[in-house]
Order: sequence, then C-alpha cells, then structure tokens
Amino acid sequence: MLNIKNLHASVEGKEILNGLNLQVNPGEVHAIMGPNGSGKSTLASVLAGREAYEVNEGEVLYHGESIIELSPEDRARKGIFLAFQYPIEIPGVSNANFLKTAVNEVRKSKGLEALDSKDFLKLMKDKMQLVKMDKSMTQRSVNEGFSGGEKKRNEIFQMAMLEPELCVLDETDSGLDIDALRIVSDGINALRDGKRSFIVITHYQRLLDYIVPDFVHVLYKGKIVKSGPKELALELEEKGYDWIKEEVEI
Amino acid sequence: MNSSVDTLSVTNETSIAEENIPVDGLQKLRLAALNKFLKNGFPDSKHEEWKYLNLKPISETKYNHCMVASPLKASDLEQFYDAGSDTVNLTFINGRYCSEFYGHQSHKHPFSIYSLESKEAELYLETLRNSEDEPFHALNTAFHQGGIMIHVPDNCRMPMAIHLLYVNDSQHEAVAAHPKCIVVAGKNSAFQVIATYHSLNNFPSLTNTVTEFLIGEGAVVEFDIKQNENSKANHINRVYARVQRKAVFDIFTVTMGGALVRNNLEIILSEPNACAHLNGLTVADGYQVVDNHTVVDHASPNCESNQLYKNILDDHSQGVFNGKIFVRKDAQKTNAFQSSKNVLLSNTAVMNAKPQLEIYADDVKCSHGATTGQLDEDALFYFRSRGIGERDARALLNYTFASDVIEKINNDALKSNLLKLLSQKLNTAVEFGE
Repeated sequence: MLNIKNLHASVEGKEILNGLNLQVNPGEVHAIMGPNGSGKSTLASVLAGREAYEVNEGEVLYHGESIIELSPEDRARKGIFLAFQYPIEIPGVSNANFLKTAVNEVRKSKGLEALDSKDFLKLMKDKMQLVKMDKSMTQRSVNEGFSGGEKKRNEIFQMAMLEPELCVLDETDSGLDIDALRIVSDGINALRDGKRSFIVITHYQRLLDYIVPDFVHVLYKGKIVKSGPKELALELEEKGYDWIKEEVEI
Repeated sequence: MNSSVDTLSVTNETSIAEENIPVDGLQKLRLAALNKFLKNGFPDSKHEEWKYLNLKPISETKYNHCMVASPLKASDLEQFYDAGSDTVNLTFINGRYCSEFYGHQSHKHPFSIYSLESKEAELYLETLRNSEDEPFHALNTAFHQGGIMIHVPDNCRMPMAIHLLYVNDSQHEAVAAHPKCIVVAGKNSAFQVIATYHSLNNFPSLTNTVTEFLIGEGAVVEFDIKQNENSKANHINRVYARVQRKAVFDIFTVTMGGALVRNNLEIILSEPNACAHLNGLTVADGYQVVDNHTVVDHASPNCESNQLYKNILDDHSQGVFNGKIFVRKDAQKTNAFQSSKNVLLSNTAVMNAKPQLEIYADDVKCSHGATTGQLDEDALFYFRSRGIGERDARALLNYTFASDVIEKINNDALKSNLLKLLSQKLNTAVEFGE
C-alpha cells in the first residue's frame, strides 16, 4: 500500500529525513518510535503533504503511484488520513458542517453522490459511538474550547467518518489520561478491519498496550535504524534509546 | 432648486443668494448647505477625514443630481426584495420614495410615513444633526427630494422589519441620487430597519444617502445595511443616530459591492445608560475601495459602545477603518470598546486602520485594537488534510472570520442572503451557515 524508498526531506532548508525506508502492507499496524527530534512528526507531515516540507530525494509510493506532487486534499481523497498531534481550533465552523463538507468532497472524488443531511446525520451518529462523542461536540466549533482528550477523540471521529485506507497517527496519545487513552485506542481498534493500515507515531510503549502493532520501527537521525516485532517496544521502554544510538554510531 | 445643475463646479465666487429664490424652511436649509458645499468643494487627501480616499471618481464625473424620474416598474424591483417576506418594503428610486410601489404589499404597518416637506418632519430636519460640517451631507441636504420620515409610535414592537430598498437607475445617464430618511423611534419601541442598496448601471452612479435616527427612551432598534452595488457604483453613506436614555441601537454595515464606498457613522449616546453596537464586514476585491469612518460620542454617563469591524481584502482592494470615540467630561462609567480585524488575501491589498480615542472623563473603560494578517496556514492545512480543496478551505476560513458579524444579524432571510453573497464573492460552492 505504502512504499517509502530512500526518503530525504527538509524543512526550512534543514534536512530532517535522511534516507528513510518503510513498507506498509494492507491491514498492517506499524509503530514508529524514536527520541525527540528524530523526524517522527516530519514523516507524518511529509505523508500528509504539508507545503513547508520539501522532499529532496527518494520516493513515496501509495498504491504504486508517487504522491510527492499531490496536494494535501488529493492525498486525503485518495485515503490518506493524518491525525494531528495538535489539532487546530477553528472558531465559527461547526464540527458537523466541517465534516459534511469533507465527507462529501471525498465522496465526490470517488464519483459518489453527496450525502444528504439525513444520511449524513445517521453516519455521524454511528461513528460518534466509536469514540463516545457527545452530540453537543458535533455542534460546537471545530476543536474550539475542546480539552486535549476531546481534541484527540475528535481526530479519531473524523478518521472514522472519512474511512481512510492509510491512517497516520501523530502522537495521538500525548496529553491523554488513562481513560481517554482507552477510549481513543478502542476507537482506533474498531477501525482495524484487516485492510486499513496504520502508522502509529508515539513516544511511549503505553499506547502500544492498547493498539498492538505488527511492527515496531526506531527512527533516529532521519532514518529507520531498527525494526522488530511488538516486543521491541517493550525493550525500548525498559532500556531507553541509548543502546540503539550506540549500535548506530558503531 | 435649479434643476439644470448637473455638475458642481466649485469656485470661491460661486454661491446662490437667498434673495433670488423664495425661501421656506427646507429651502433655507438647502441653500445654506449648498453654499457651504460650493465654498469648500470636494475634500481632497489633505483633509484628515478623507486622506485614504481618492474622490476623483466622484468629483470628476458629471452626474445629474436632479434626475428622479425612472421608467422602472414594480416587476423590475422584485429581484431586490432580499430581506424576506416578513418585511414592509419602502422603495426609493433615484432618491425619491415611491409610494406607488407600496400598493401590492399586504402588510399593514403600525408606523407613519411623512414627507420631509411635511410639517411633522420639519421638527426633525437639521435638528438631529447640522449637515453643513460634512461635505456630502451638505450635498444631500441641498439635493434630497422625495425623502421620508418614519415615525414608530411609543411602545410599538414590530415583528416585521422595515426594508428601505434603494435603487439608483443609471441606465440612461450618470445619476447622483441623494436619498434621505429620518427614523424616529418612539419610547420603548422595538424594531428593525434594513437598508439595501442596488444600482443599475450603464453609466457610473453616485448614491449619497443619509439616514438619521432618533432612538427614544428605552427603544431597541437594529439597523442593517447591505451594500452590494456593482463596479460602476460609488456610494457615500451617512448614518446619524441620537440614542436616548436606556435605548439600544445596533448597526450592521455589510459591504461586498461598489467601486468606492464610504460609510460615515456617527452615534451620539446622549443620555445615561444608552448603548450602541457597531458591526461592520467588508469583503472586497478588484479595485474596490471601502472606507468605514465611525464616531461614537459618549456624551452621558453609564453608556456602552462596542465596535467590531472586519475586512477581507483581495486583489488590489483597499479598506479603511477610522474609529473615533469621544468620552465627554461628564460621561463617567463609560464602557467603550473598538476592534478592527482584517485579512489580506493578496500582496497588493491594503488596509488602513486608525483608532482615535479622546477621553475627557476619568472613570471609564475604553479599549481599542487593530490586527491585520493573512489566513492561518495551519488551519488551511488542517482543512485540506481532510479532503477540502484549497479554494473551499480558504473560503471556509474567510467565512469563519466573517461569521461573527453576519451571524449576529437578527433576520434569517437577510442573513442567508448575505451568506449566499459571501460564497459567491469568495467563489466557492460551499454553503455557509449552520
């Protein structure tokens, strides 16, 4: 589904990703871990098409086609979803209206008819249950005045509404207490259907107790320096990153 | 009045002597105003109040100032009834109130309409505000014909709005229309007035409009102005309001169309506990110039005023906000706030924001602020990352910026009409609103 080959990317002239390789097949969950500043959030931004990030070298193939030149909206319409580390507050547009516009844009790009209000409300009602969202949250302005936990729940709610194929979760666990973490993780797990793929970027092993990955990768200095099964996360939690850094330096 | 005056050439020698013309009350005012105008002429950019506005499109065009006849029929006007059906429509064509267009409306209204030449109106002519200080107001006084006074009786709470529909018909020549309307709100009355301006242009037009309000004790009045004329239309709008004890005056000025638009709002809070809210939204592109000047005069204690003006400027358009607040010596416990917020969508759009506070009382709360920036790139990316195209994402962000002005308007039909205009103006198919 996703094939990243020798990816070099920079922001404001500074190279952050430095020859990253990653292959994600349908239905797989990949966890990306790594120390601060290793390039985890840059990877998320590059995949979603943020304009400030420049790809200098390498390839990002999605279903065999390069997406590097695609706009963020075209990537979203093709099924790539980024759950933001810091979701943006947008006063003046209700969550429901925002999502209706987004859902219908994505449908339009697939040649599907726009959902009318009734069908949309039904869809919203179904998906709200996934993340235990209150109805009032859909009527409020997008993320405005939401707590940290509510914002992250809203990201997963949006993900459920848009039904993407590839979900990139950028530190979705940051700022969550245990209860919120469980709700968000349950929501994500409910969306695992054997075809949808996930890239889970996190600092902590804790999240991976709830969302069990198929692979764990360690990102360091802009490339993946170690990959392993889910047990690798436990090892990292126990020993920190120093031993990996040492391995790499040698 | 000499109806052959079709341009206004100005020299210091030009003046019209009273003794040559029979003079009654209104004529006397007209003469004084015209002489004052002829003496000073059109203001230029050296005039502090007019420094950001190039008036050449007005001063160098030969307008017919006395052209009130128009072949427009009722059916030509239907397109302009955009404040919904729950309104009493009062139509002005080229400045003249046309009672003949009233006939087909079913609403019976509880207010009175008087000609400005009537005895009832005489009391309010020039007593609210002397027009000679301000050049375009003086011009309006000299030339207004067929203006009206609306009197809403005490304790009258009107569910339907009064829609003042102004049409400038410049299809056959360049017309300068000088409509004038005085609104007297009786004690404890409550109602809404909507003014919409339209122009039909084969030639350039000038609409130089004056609306004056006397808001009686305890009255609550909302005045919504919609300016969406085309790119050959120039527009000078003056609103004056005297707000009395415990009365509330809310005003919305929404400007999307017109070549050169100047709004002069002057609100005096003349008695204790009066309150005024001034809201403005301008969405301009091309070479439009939209200039909002406000004066809020706190002449009495315990009054409150709040101003929120927003501009969305694209292409080479220019916006001006000049907001003056006076707090007189006796106006203790004043609350006066002002905010000017602006978004520039291009590198060539210009915004000039100038707050002016003159405070002579010592126990007051006053604040002002002005910000001018661009659309938030993070928010834009957030929208786009959800599949919303760039143009629609920008439009939605502009809507969010504009919404806290539009959504406050207390008339659903007008609101949805404005939201539709906004999406047209922003070139998007996205429907705004809830």
